Amino acid sequence: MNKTFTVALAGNANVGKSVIFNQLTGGSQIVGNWPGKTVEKAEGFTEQGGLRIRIVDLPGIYSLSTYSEEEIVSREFIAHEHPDLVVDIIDASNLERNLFFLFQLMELEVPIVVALNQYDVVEEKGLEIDEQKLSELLGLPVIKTIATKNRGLKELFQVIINILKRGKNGRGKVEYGKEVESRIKILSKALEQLQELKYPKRFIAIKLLEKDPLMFSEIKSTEIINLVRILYKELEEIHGEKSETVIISERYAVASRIAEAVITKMRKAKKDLSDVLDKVALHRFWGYVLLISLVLFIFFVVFKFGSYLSGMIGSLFSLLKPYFMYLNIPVPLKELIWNGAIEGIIAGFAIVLPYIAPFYLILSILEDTGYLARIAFLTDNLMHRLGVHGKAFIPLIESFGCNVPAILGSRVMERKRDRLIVSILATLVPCSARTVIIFGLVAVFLGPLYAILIYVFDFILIFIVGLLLNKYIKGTPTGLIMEMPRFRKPVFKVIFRQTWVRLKEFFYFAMPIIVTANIVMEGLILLKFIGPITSALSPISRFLGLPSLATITLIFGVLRKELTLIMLATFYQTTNFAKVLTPQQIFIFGFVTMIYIPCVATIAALKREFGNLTAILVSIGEFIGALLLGGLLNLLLRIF
Amino acid sequence: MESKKILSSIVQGKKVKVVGFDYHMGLFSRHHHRLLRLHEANDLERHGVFFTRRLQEMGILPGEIIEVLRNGNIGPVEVIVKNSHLAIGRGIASRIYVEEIDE
Repeated sequence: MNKTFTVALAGNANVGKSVIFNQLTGGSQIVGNWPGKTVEKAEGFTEQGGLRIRIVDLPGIYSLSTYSEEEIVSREFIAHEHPDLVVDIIDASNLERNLFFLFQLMELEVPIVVALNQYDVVEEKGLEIDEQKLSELLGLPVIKTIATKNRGLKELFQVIINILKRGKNGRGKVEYGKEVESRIKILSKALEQLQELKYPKRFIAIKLLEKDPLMFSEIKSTEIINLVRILYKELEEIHGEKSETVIISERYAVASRIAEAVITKMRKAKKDLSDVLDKVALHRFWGYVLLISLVLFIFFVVFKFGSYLSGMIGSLFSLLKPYFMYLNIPVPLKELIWNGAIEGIIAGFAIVLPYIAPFYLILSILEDTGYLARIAFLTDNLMHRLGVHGKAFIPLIESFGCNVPAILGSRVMERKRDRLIVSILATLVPCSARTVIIFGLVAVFLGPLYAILIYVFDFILIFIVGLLLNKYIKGTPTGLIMEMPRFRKPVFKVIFRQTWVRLKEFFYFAMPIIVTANIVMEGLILLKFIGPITSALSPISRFLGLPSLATITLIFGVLRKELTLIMLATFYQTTNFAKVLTPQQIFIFGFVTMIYIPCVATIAALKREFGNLTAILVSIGEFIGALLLGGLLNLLLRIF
Repeated sequence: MESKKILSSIVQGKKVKVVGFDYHMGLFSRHHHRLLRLHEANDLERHGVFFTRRLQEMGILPGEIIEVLRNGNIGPVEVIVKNSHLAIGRGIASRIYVEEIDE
């Protein structure tokens, strides 16, 4: 009894899959990426009824075509890794579209259990679903669940265990119309001559008739491809529609038939609170008022709470410093360890964590309640001018916390072009570290109005860069097609998990980079490399109109932006910057730090998502751009 | 009934029947404000096939009756299709042909 069973959770987005995953695994999860893909993979282990079960949470998708990486990952996982069981989680209040997906799973010929989730919404609508009948029609076990209230999950687990123990389960079967079925049969028969098929024959046949591009490229036989061409042309002639439309319509026809047979209307529907909320949330005027006030409120809370927490953690660490300095190790090594390694860790905990933790928490709440989809709806028009659709606004908001998770979060976009544009724009968004500089330098010494002015400059720049990227990056902008989930009460377990997963990913990724970079920089100082670098930088200093010591701090900003301010204080031995810099210099300094180069962690994130070339080009591009704009600003300030 | 319209032109609250899609956008792009080069036109067509497939998978199929729930002068159009709410970007919505149905 040492076998580990694999159970995959599949289903549409917004069906409560993550809640079920959480309940089944009890919080012990491993989150990573699918190999070679930028799609999140979550899995967990559990022991139930003497069985060891690995539960894999597949991405929330609507189809098994190749619209997005998520769909490819899911279908390859099911077809190639043969999970012992797939649990399809269905939104009971949205039966037809969920059955449409289920049918494709059935075509992959894996054992399936259906969880009829969010059943409470069905009841609110005054409907009832006959699960017995549904189970008969599908030939699959069906269990009603309300995951958010922990109802039906025990039964679901019992069924899963029974099936795993028995080792077999009905796979169900869907029959389409005569014309389609006969062509699927012909094609399946023809596929028999091919060896080593990666999917079941029926699945391949249907996907070929649907003109699935990936399937076409996987079938090497020209004979088969020619046969497919003949067959789908026949279908197109009979139905007068493209053959993919024919297949999709057939699926929906069967889904409607089944839905009609199992749903009965019992009572009048209650008024849907979600629709009422949408009247405000998506209102042409009030929707934006709500959005803007919410965003401002979030920033206020995050930065208020963040600076408080940051101060606390920072002073906690500085309490430790005297003890460390007492240690009996050589002084240079001591400085390297403290100023390099430990300060790096402190920065991570004291400067980044306090801001991004509450930020992620709020973001997860917005996501779980369904408000993020409303944000995408409201900002779609604006974002289209930058060549991306409304979903892009979400990583850009994330970017105000830190650019790194924003770049990783650009995965919400379906196509690579969109992800690239969003990520480049994200590097220009003032993250919490840059906010610290603008607040601590410009706002303190020049007044808040000038700080706001820098923000305005930055937003204009983002907009212009967006326009340019849209114009010059090859490809067509993608339009928005997005399900608008109903508003719902957030489930805090899920929110905390999401926050934790995001934080963990950030730390695993960014922390080593921050610490290494810090050690290298400290080494440079110890080895007295600062002098030569200063003189090498003097043309740049003159161009920007900054003192050379201030210019050199910009290099530190590549590590972490807020270091520029810290190093400025270190070099000048004062925090009263008005004594050492003119107001113009403060303004230029603030502006240049805001835009001049993404920090190392951000560059690494760009490299991970888009490769070396993009990371280098973006860094150099922003470096040159910042210099030119900074120089221009210097010139203008001198004239006026 | 010869009243083929585009989805983005439908007043909110109306029910319409989907009749088809515009796969080709023509050689003049509203987005680029100029004539397209060949590779761009090809990309656009592939893109057209790509988004119509997704629309159909979400239930926007020829013959389907959908309700326009929200349609301002700018921004996406929200429709109810097969009991669920779907937001469709304005550009895409302007390439879905529909017929108004009398009630």
